[in-house]
Amino acid sequence: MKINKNARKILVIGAIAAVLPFFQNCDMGSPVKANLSSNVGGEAAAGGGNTVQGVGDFSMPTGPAVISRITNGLENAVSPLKGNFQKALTASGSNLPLVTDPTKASGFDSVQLVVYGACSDLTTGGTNSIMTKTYKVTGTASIASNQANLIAAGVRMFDNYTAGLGSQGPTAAQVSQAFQTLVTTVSGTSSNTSTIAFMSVCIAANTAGSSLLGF
Amino acid sequence: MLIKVKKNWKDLIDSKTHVHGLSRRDFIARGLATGSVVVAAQKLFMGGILGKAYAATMTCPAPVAHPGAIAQIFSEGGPTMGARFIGDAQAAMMNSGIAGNYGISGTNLVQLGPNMWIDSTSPFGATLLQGPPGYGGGATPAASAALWKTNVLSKISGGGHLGPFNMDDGAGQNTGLLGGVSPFKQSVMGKDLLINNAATRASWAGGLPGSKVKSNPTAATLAATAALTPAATGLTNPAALGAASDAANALATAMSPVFNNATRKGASVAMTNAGCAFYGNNALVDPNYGTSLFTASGISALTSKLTVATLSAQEQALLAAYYQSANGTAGGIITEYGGRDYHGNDPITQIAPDDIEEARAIVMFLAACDAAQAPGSMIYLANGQAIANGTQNGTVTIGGQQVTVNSPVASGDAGGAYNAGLIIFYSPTGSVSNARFTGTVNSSSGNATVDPNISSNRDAVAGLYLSALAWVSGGQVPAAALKAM
Repeated sequence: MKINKNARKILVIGAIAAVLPFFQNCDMGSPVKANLSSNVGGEAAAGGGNTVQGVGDFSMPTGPAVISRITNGLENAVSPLKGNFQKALTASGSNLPLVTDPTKASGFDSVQLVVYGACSDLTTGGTNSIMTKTYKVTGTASIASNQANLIAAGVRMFDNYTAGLGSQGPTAAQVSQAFQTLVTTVSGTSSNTSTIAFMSVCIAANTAGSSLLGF
Repeated sequence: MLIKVKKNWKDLIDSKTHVHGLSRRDFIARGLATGSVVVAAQKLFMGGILGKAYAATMTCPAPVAHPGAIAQIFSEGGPTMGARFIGDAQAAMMNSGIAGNYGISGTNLVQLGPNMWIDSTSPFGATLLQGPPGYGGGATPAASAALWKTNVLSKISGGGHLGPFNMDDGAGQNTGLLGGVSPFKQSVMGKDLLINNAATRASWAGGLPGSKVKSNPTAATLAATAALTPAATGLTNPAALGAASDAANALATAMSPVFNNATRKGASVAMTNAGCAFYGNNALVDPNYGTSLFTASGISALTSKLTVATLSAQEQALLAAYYQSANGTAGGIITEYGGRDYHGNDPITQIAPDDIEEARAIVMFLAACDAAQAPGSMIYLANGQAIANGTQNGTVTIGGQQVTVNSPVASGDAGGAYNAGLIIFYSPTGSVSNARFTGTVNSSSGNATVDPNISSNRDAVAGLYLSALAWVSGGQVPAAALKAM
């Protein structure tokens, strides 16, 4: 039997209302009715009184888009079909955002977990790693000696998400400063290695690029 | 009295503000003022816009753990649901015909709380009454069981929807009977644990965050849901990952004016929700984090209540998982038990162990709620129903003890007979709810008829989950859940 959306909502409410009013020690009826009147129908509140729908709104990339963005951000040096990127997707991929509406989407934490897996693939292989070959960061050298290349690596990755605006846009100085601050912070712990610093830069650039810029 | 004075152009000649009277000095002064405004305007106007954009990414609420366990057990197939929980009305009308169809003796009914009855001689009922080993420090199993009944079983109540799951096993298997509660139930992990979930999830639950555990749960398999892949050693640490999250937010803030986020609807909530979500991952860096969460023997609140060591590995894992849901670390614990197509199965060697396994899981759930002193809601349903033809007496092992039971003799699939989507409420204070069953039961056969307001399994499952969320949320149905379902 096909029923329209409003009828389904009424039936669902009926299903809960059938059980809920019988909590003796809680005033269950009023909250349900209050929620019903304020949330069924109309647009979703998006904060600040704005609503989400239409041209110009901020939308979140969903799981497949996140995966594609990461792959592109790392210049196809990693693949979602192999390595730690694949393993991280197996572990957390199903939790990536599934809807574009920022008021409903969830699973952003999993974006960082997937990025972490992808970034780790860049560090394998010692001196032949992509971290060293492509981004010129030597894992065995000090963070200080790699600092310029670490920042450059972050900007390069972030540029892939912003069509070059990360390094060429009006806020290029802020972008560079964000990586500068990150590298300085990580280097403040003596036990941290250049690999850890590179991972931090990679995670920052790719989580921001894949999930915080919207589309 | 208003006096009007007529003026003509001559009167305006000496006006300093008229353009025609603009002197060179005035011109320079205005130029300087305009220049100052041009410089100041950026700070006045753009500063405000950027400030709003920055504020959206800089304020992250502290992680909040909302106590309250929510769990589901889904029996895939067609068990003898009548030999598990029944309600007040069914208990009141119990006769030999109903007892035979349900697969219970019918003469050993015990009330656990409002609308919650079991047959104490059924494998399911005997398991519930026995409780966890060593509960409350009881000197004997009987003493522990007595304490269990007083301290825990007396604090539960039940309800549900009669009838909507009355399909034969194959027909009802993938009608969306598995739900979820994250992110409606806020938790530190921000996701549900989906244990052995193979059937189709409810349409409203398909996109909810959850980690799958594909085998029978152990501490190790559950711990893997709270860990980094690959392990963090040599790659990151909590401080470095936190700094990376800071930098990601700083990058987003830097690009905000470029993408004009200040005027894009939803940008603020998106940047806050996403940017703040990253920080929850810092705990996962610790390779022992997941293990510490899901190793029951290492949780003092549990070991002080019962003898954890004598539980099976699966029971220990479930106990810990339910405990983490109860204390707000994890979302819901959604478990599927496959192979519950009872008709034709041996009552003692097959049906009884399956009923005992599920009853033990419910015992673990209640013990976890009791240990956490948090409210709990357990949703319990199956997609099919096997009608019984009486019971068979025999001896089974429950919690290491030999117990004589009357196990249901499942004779065949019974679409249209008795089934129910059940929900159990636990209150740590004993202030139990008086939930009810919807639908009606035939007083002769015990067959259930669905309430006309429940048009589908989907609606029934949604109603149960909303009720569960309301119970652990102090009576409030989370608005987002109501909207989603």
